[in-house]
Amino acid sequence: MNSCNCELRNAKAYLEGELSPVQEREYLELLDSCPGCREHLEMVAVGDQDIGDFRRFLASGSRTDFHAFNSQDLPADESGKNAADLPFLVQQIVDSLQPTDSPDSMGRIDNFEIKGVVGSGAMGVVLKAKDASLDRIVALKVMTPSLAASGTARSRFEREAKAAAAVHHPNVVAIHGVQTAAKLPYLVMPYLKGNSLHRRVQTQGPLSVPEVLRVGSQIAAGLAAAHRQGVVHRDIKPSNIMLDDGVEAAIITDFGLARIVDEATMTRTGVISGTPEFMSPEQARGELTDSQSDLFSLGSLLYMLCTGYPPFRAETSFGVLRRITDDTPKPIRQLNPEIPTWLCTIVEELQQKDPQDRPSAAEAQSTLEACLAHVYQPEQALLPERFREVSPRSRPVNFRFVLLGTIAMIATLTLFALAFLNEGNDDSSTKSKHSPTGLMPTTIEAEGSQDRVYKTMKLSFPDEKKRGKLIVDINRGFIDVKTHKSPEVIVEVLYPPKAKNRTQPGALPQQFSPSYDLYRKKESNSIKIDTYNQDYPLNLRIKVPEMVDLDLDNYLDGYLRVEGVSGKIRANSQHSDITLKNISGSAEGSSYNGHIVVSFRTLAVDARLDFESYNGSIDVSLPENASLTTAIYAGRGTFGSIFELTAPSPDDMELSWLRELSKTEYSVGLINGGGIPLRIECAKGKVSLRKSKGH
Amino acid sequence: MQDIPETRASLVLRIRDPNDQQAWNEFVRLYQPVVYRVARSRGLQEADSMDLVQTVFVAIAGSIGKWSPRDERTRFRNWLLRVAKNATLNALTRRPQAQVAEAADLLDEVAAPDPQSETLIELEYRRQLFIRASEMVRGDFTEDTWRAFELTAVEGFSSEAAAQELGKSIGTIYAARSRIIKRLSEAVHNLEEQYK
Repeated sequence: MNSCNCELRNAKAYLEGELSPVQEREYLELLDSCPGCREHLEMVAVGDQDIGDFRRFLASGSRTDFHAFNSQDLPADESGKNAADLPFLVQQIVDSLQPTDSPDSMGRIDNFEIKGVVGSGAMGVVLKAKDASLDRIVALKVMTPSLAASGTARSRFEREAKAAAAVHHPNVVAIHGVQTAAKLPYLVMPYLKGNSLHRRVQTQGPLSVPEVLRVGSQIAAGLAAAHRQGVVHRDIKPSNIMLDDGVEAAIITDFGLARIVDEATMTRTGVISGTPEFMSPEQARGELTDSQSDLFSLGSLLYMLCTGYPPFRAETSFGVLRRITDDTPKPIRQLNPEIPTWLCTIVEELQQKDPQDRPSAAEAQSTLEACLAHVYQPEQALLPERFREVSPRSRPVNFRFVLLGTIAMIATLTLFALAFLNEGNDDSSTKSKHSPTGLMPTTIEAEGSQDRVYKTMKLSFPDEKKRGKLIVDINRGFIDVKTHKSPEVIVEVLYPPKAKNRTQPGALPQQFSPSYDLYRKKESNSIKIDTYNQDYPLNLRIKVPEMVDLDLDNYLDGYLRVEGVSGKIRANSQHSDITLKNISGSAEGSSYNGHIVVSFRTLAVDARLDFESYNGSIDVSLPENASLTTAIYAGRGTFGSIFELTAPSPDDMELSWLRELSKTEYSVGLINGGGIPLRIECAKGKVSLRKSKGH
Repeated sequence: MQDIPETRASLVLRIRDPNDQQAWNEFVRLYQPVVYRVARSRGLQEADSMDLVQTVFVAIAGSIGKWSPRDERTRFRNWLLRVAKNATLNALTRRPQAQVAEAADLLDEVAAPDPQSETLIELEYRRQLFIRASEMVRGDFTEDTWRAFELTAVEGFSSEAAAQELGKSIGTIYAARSRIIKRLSEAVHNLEEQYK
């Protein structure tokens, strides 16, 4: 750098094209001789751009389509690994493929033409491949390079895979072949279409009792076959059970394989890579395990099928392990009262801490099968004898009907009562009170623009259609939508507008025409409002008697306020705050960026509460006398972190998020109260739940 | 990736403002590969991915009538971007049960939370900004200049190796690569701004 001043401005001038040809030549010569100048030039050119982005996004390898991964195969996020890192693993494996002549193939492994990436997990990547010699589509499970580097893992893989290949059973995935001599060892399996059981529960919630029994007995049958051969699975969990498309047969995958990863990494780092939620106590303690370990895991799996949640949940993997060894899970019926007592007993028997106390796989299979037969044909097939005394009115199906019937009746009565209250409270409904079939044609009344109320519109729907469309032209402002017991909707457009979050406060934007499609569904008497314009704040205030369904997807700001719903409300928005006030019944709400505030006047007997916010806060107020038995928190995050609910004392309903979790799905936290499932989801922010002072 | 003519045809009917048409055409060009790659990454076959791209864009085109055409261009683009992201998420999460669901349905709801697909969409969108930007600026540079950039910034060769490969001095390699990095960064930034 001797004679050079390395001036930054040279670099700037060069990049801006401000140098004369002579200066430019001089500058290029300077670059050749002076590393300092080169660094300056690079620094100025790169600016705040991430230089790695060019490689990341423009490299030809990165532009191909090999970034697949499967949510259910992802390891729990404690490792700090994030989803964006995974394609690298896939890429590593894809890079190792042998070249191929086949045009629609990504590459080749021995005789297999690789057609795509199915998913990736801790152990390896699953590839879809065509077996050239047999002309069939198969799945290859290829070990990750890092794991393949471990001799122990390789030999375990070989041993386990060969043992698993010896198990032939319709509920156990077949292993066509094992190749351990390859650079990356791999397994050849049938290519299964369909979802994992994990995904099924994730998307559809708890299974019905017959489904729990059917899936459970199939898994038990598969385990029984494997155990007869001396093969232990060691990682029975919903994501390792595939539901084959069409026939819906449960197929156990990954026999003996998944925990190889743990054993390889745990010895190195003492950290568990996968989810430990379905481990047995003896596994959790790191002791030797035998086939009875799988039975405990089966119990935990059935628990999740019944309730939608794994039985042992805690903030950390180690917390989960401690709970597995020390705690008894919350009774299933507190989470899902529809599950018959005898099924709870089956799960409890499987979840005995002492392996000797658990039934064998074959015993579990026959119990589950007998119960399944009973559920289908209560008269012909009786429950296994030991369950009969447990519940005198034991027929689960009938019991369920009775229960539902009772709930429905109470709910109906409640609705009547509330509807009555509503009428009494709401004087604006008087006009239409006596004309429930008041089938006026659509009318719009405009009132002179006073200080606030600019226009009042009344909209009635002809009976035969029960559907109307209202188009409102307004400048920015509020829209206040009220509906009453009669098929009448009153829309008020308030003026002047409130300038909110605008760069030019008070400046009126050009006119726009949001259209609100208000209609009542014949059956549910519900109102649905679809809004599309997202460019101005939309503030909706709605009073409805029964059911309302609101979507504010595209709004950037504004808020949604709903008052006095006595049936069911569902409110979703991307960016708007949602306030549900003075409601009674069920409520669901989600907002990505908004805050959700909900206050109940009364809680219906079968109320369902379900709130999600990704970046906002959730605040739920319950009536003074409301009793909640159960509250379940389940958090799913998009961008931010998830906060966890503390377990409060039953007396004090004040809850707060305590801890940041990572991005993947997580569920934890219970409160005690009176029979009403409550689900609150929040990714970032705070949630509080308290008894309100009443209204 | 070929274009999908149906989308364009239905579009012309809906967009009367030529500026919006231009914005739409640019958007289609930018975003179709994003949807396609996300679909492929999610394990869909080539043909299924193309179907999904088509469904998503038909859905967006169908909703354009709901966009108020009197606003600034940038807002239209931003709206497109957000609607497209939602529709893509919905299309992915609804598969395969509702594969034949009406295209318009894809815009109806808050997209099912699917953090991985969202991450993927963001990633592929960003990648596409880079690809599009490089298509745009590439013509402004000579083959050798571009190659110097590619060898060093993209393919990860050292400047010395690139100098040797191209028979240029090391200063020339630095100069070439820096100019392109600057131009590309600007182009990416500009594209990004258009959709904000």
